[in-house]
Amino acid sequence: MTVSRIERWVSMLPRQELDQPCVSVDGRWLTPKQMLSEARAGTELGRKAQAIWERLGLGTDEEMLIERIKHRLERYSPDKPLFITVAGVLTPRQMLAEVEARSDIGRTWIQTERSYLKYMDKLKERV
Amino acid sequence: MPISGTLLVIQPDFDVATRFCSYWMERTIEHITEKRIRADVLKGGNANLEEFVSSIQKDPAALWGAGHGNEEAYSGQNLVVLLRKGVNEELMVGRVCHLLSCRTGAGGGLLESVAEKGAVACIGYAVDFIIGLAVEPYAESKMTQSLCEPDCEIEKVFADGGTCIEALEASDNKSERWVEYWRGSGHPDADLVIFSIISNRDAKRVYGVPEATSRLTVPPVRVAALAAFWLGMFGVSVALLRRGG
Repeated sequence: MTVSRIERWVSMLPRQELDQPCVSVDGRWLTPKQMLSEARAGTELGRKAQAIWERLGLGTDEEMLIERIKHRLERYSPDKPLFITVAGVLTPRQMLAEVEARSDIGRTWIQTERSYLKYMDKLKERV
Repeated sequence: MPISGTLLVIQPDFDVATRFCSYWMERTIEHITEKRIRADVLKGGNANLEEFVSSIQKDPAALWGAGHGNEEAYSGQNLVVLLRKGVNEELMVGRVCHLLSCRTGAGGGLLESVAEKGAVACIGYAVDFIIGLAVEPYAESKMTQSLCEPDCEIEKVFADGGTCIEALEASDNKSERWVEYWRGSGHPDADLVIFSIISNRDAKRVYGVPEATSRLTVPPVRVAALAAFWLGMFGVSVALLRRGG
């Protein structure tokens, strides 16, 4: 039952999310793809991940959120402008530096990532 | 007392970011003016300090401005400062001020100060507003549209007589619809756009009176009074004509 719910949930995610960490199990981060694979195989890790996914929702620990931002930005050229803001342009390297330094602006982007995961978590209600 | 039904729009267009803002604001202004709201638009080179002060003297009920900004100041064409914390906030007394600009909505920043100095309400963004993405750097792209429209939605609600709270809700709903669009798009950069939309959505702030409207719509009492006046004039004219005949 739960496996089919995870399958449906995974099918609703943007495809870039499939390889992004989203659940923390015993200190290990799992991506939606890994969680589904473990759940299908019926492993202990898969069962724990399912339980966390069902009851607690997606992980929100800061290190994982930073890892998600890093992973997303890796696809782009680090020193080419990526974000066009009303204050100027921002490269992936600049954004990552702020995030890793946990500066004021870096913290707001970590919070944005948290909101993004909350949105993904809410998609569970539709499966 | 600022004049109901009048809006001052500041629309600089000297770089990529301001051109993107200008492109989508233009479409919203079409919607606003259809509602018989008088929009005084300072576009491009007219978005300067002299024109700004002169337009404020016409006493508009609300201001909608795009342009570069930070915690201390908001600027128009070529970065000329139009509003600065601690310098000319009194220009906004009695008005609703909405800025599509970076960081002017940060706590303790320009807009909070403008509201404290007597603006009815102020809406802005606490962090850098992401207006576009370099993977599709065009004003008319779906990416730019999905980043700009949630802000434009605020003015649409004001034009319909809504409050600041209603405007913010509508803006959030617009953001949600765009997030849904990108989620199902299969676009290779969908996650990046979703992140950017959420960043803008979460950065919105309101100071002053959140229940206030921007008084862009003419109050029904005034409409009724005007209608009664013209009906009366019509009646008098008819009576005079009859007497004359």
